[in-house]
Amino acid sequence: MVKLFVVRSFFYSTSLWSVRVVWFGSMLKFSLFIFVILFNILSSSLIAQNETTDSANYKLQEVIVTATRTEKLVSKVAGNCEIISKNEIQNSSVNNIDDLLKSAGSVYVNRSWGIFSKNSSVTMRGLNSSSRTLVMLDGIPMNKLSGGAVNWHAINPDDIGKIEIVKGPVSALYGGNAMGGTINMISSEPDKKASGSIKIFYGDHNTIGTSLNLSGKDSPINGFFWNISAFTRKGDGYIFIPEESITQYDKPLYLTEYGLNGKLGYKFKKGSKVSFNYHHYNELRGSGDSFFEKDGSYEKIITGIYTLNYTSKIGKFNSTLGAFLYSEKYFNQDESMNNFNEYRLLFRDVLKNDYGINWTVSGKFNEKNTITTGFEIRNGDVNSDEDYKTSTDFINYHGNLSLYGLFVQDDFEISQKFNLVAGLRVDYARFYNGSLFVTEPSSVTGYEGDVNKKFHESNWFAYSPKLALKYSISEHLSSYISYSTGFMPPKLDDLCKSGKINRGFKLANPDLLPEKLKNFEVGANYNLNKLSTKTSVYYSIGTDFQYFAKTGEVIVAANGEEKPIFIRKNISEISIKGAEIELKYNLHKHIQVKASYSYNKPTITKYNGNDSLNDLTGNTLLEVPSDMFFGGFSYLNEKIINFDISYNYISAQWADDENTIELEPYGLVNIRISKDIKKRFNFYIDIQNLFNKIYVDRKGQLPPGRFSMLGIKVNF
Amino acid sequence: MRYAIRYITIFISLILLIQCKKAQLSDVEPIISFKTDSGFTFSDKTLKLGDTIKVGIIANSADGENITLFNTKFFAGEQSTSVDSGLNSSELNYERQIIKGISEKETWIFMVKNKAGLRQEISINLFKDSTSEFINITHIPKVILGAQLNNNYGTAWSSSLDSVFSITKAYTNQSSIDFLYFYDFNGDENTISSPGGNVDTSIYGSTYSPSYWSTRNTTRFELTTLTVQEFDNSYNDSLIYANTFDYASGKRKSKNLKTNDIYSFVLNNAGKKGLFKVLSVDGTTAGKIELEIKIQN
Repeated sequence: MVKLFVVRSFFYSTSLWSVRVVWFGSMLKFSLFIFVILFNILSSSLIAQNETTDSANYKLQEVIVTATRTEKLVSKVAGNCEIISKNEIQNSSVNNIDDLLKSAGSVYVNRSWGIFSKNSSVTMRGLNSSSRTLVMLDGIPMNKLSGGAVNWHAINPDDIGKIEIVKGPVSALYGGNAMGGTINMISSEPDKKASGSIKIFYGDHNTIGTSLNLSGKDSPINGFFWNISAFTRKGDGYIFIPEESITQYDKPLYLTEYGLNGKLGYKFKKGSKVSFNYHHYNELRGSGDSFFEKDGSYEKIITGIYTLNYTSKIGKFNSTLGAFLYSEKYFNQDESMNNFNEYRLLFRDVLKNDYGINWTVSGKFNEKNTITTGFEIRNGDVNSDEDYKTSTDFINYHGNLSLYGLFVQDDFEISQKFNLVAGLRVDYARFYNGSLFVTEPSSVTGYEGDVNKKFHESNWFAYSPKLALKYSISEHLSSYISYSTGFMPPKLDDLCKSGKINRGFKLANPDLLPEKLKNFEVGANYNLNKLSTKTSVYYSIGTDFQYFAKTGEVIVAANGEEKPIFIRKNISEISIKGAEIELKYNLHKHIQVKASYSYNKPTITKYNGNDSLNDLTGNTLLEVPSDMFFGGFSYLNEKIINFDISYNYISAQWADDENTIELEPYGLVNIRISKDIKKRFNFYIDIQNLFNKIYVDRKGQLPPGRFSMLGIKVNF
Repeated sequence: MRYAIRYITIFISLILLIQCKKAQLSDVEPIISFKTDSGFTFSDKTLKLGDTIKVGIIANSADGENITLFNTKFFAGEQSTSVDSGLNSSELNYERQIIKGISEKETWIFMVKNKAGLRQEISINLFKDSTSEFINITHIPKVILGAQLNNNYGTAWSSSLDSVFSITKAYTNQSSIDFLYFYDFNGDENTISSPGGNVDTSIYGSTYSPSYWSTRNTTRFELTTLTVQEFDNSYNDSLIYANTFDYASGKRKSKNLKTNDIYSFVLNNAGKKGLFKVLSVDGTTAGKIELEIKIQN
């Protein structure tokens, strides 16, 4: 077993902290796991007999839409849900919206290069890969069908009014990607006739940025609401290579980005509402090296998201009709030098479009039954050009994937104490227009000759049932038991893209099927006026998981070495044992304490990769920390000072499928101190990674370390 | 709201300042030409088998995008090879030697491509002189060489003397030695090296190691893609010519040898050309290798 160790010189400032982290992790792993189970078993009998009728001013009860597609109190949902409020968003020391999700148990946010990260992955409940967690913006899926990933940079935290998190599979309502859970970011709605703010900030690595927000309600005429916001950010970045390994070709991960958001809507007198939203985001990010090109390797992404929503009443039912277009133009200039000092320059030009419509109707069918039903059509296409400038190779691949979903759910009130939720969604998927063209290939790309291939069409169905029983023991205490399912559609990149990978050569597989997950769960929610806790224990079984399988053929690399050919197939099964507990306590009207802990053990239980030397059976999924802890303390007092401090612990995790490289655990402390002056000015300082903890990511690269930011916001 | 317009103006100015720049690639094509200096061949030519010519290429971006690819294509009958060299420069200056092979007509195409994907190419045809004839070769069916600790077989081979020598005898016949066989325990394993191949002193010890020789021949090697059948059926130097290489580009060692590997070699200072085939190999420091050799007379 190989361990990636951080450069010794980085340890001096963090060693004490590391000891605490290790102790903390191992203690929590056992004690909290047992606590979660005991809590579920004993809560019914013990707490029910000692109900507290504390009626202080605080109400931790919040309304969530994402869990059922209808408005419902979090405590009434037969599952584990969480809400991050506007206040929490505004007062956290985060630079990107995904950073906020760290506070939710079982959510793992991997953004190891801070604001300079090219990609940030958010995964839930023991599953890796961004595509196994559904992320939405106002109900619109943000996971692209091409690769499943989410571009978190495209969302300005200032535009978001609330984040709803539903843990566990929710494919019965949302279809694809909702395996580990669902995150729905809901944009802010103006609450004043006219208001605005402007923010300027400056931080480490010469990072400078601005943001502007203007909004209005019932202006210029009654019924209209609008919002215009924009942000810019630019930073010189840092070099992510250990100092002693830096060469003349290693360069900082620079960053330049800006975004624009426009929202326009109208509320009709009878309660109907129509709104149009447009997000534009433009980013340029250095990749950390430069050989001949002035800008070195970099990625440039231009994103446009258009959404249209119309909500209305149809009799006693609420109707929501939505349409969206999510377009991403990706360009990558990739410079490299191999071990033989051969220079490579590659331009990648990829256009990805996701678009679709959805319609949901929900309402009380009768006194006992709340019915939610609807349909969804989601399409995705990808067109990629890879132009090798230092050889003759040119590769183009293209593909379309369409998903058609129908769903129905009944929330049946059996009695005052029991609720039964039963739902089913059927998805039909079709892959078509798949093609791969390769011209003048050389050993660089590994193709033997020109390719002009049209892939055959393929299709499949996914059935996603859900059954959950909620038992409201008292006003404050409830428990639930549920069976839910999720699936992840195959990615267009796997359906129609062949090409070199680190281990050899990968073939496209147009016959890939979706991955599936069944989840069995019990949980309990306990809410007093000042205290709220949620616990759950779950066991998940994943089938048809995709891994590379050897075809038995080989290609000959440029250096004469034979490398195996792989094809991605549905060849694996996994199981996940997990538990989570979250706590929110309003200690005082100005003080809130939050904590969450989760334990996940995902194991590969079956693997048929045609590779006897590399059987993954019994291994743990890579990039899944078994233990995560978040602790936060907030003091909010406009008259004195606002203060927020949080600690996030991530336990060791495997960096490879073979479980030979283990990444060290780490813990990070972030703080924000801000001061309001006459409600017009707000001065703040953010410090992320306060103790400058340096850890190594999966690729052996380093985080930026302590990152400080000073800012001022002016409200008008 | 009275400040709004002022703030918006400031904000838009900032956006304009830090906007991502757009990549606009020039449509000016690169320029490529042959060197016409004395000693260079720059037009079609008729050559005898084994004749060597020198070709020079100069190219530049012509104020367009940098040149990112220099490609050499070689066509001889049904055979063709293509070699890409990546670069990122406004200029290219390249020279190489070409040895006339066995085909009636050989075509060399030199192409440059710039970052915008625009290409330019030039070519030269080399015709075989009809008076050229293949010459019979010397066939040595089996040469057994022992590794550095093998006491039964010598470790060095001389083509001129067609003899095998122990390292001590080789020391006294330095100027005749062309091949050395040893087992490199640091990764290269079974190795045929020329005496001038920078042989580590740990292989043959401190007294007779080639490092201490005053005369070290430098034979150069290149792995071929020949089949055993092609090698076995060759009775003149046509196959040798078809698979030879520019002496300067050859390697001084042939490493990780295994049975049926076929290497092309050129003796010291672009001397005789030949091919060897590995008949068997016993890879230890006391092991041995059996070679079959075909070399120009």
